[in-house]
Amino acid sequence: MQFTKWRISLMVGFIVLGILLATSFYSQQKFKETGPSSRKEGLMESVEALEVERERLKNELSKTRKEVEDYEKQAAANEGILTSFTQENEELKKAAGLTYLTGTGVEITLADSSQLPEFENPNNYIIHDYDLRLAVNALLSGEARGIDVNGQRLISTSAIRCAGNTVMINSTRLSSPYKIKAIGEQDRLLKALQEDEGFAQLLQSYAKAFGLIVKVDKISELRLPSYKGSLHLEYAESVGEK
Amino acid sequence: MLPLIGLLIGVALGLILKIPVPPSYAKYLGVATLAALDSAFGGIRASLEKEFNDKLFISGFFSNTILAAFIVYMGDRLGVEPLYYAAIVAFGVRLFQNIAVIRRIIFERKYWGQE
Repeated sequence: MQFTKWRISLMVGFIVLGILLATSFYSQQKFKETGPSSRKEGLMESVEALEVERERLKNELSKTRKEVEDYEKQAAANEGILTSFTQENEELKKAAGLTYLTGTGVEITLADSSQLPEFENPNNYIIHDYDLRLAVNALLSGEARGIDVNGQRLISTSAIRCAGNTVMINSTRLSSPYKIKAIGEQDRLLKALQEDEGFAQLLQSYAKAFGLIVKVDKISELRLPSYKGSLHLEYAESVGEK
Repeated sequence: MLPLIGLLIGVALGLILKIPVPPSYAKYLGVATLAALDSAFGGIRASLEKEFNDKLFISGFFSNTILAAFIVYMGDRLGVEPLYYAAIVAFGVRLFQNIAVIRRIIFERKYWGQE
């Protein structure tokens, strides 16, 4: 009598213990699956997949644009009246950055410092989006006909902005070293760079103080790729010609 | 034998029920499980020593489990999180002691004959 009674209560205790163990195990397993680290991994995977997808679409887009161009040329050949329009179209496209561009110009190289600061702000030792904007704006004031940063052609709607430890241009992530190629009159471009206060400061004091690499070279033969991104504007509207 | 069957039933129940526990309560659940483990081995030990009392076992089992979770909760509330370690150390040490005694008793029965 006494014997069975204690055994049953012991069994009840063990049942509860089993439930607790299983619940702990199960919930721990679930945290691992749905925890923040696995979420991060999933996000990184989808970012990478989307980047590949975008690259593919970009190539497709440039192929399609080429096709359109071919048709335009064909049409122009067929109808003489359209020739002048097509020519104008070509000129405008060239100015807008939708075609590749060759010519003389300058190349600016900007790269992060190789020094490793121990006590100072590490932000001083890397190239930021605003450094790139300084250089690009100076080149624009020097009437550059086309500018390209690490293979990303800048057009009127291109933005240079900070994205974590990289810089984003035309929604593509770029990282140091940055090569800015600009086509235009070399002397004029160089003069504009010298006259730009921000760029002069970057070149003369920051580069020396923090070990940033800032280099300006004259290049006689530059070839800029065409802009391959979307031209669709979501919010801006044309006001038309006045 | 019966405790082992009970444990299996419990594990099966737990896996079938899949009670969702929010991550913030995982700590309480862990310490409560440790306390339950300690009490369960305490029960086996007492039964081997022939001192088992079912009322003592059941009351001890549940009060230890609830108290353990409560101590952790209090620690969190009062900002004394090391209180958590107090529960872990206390139950952990007792768990080892219980298992040591169980082992000793089994060895005594097997190799040195019945007492």
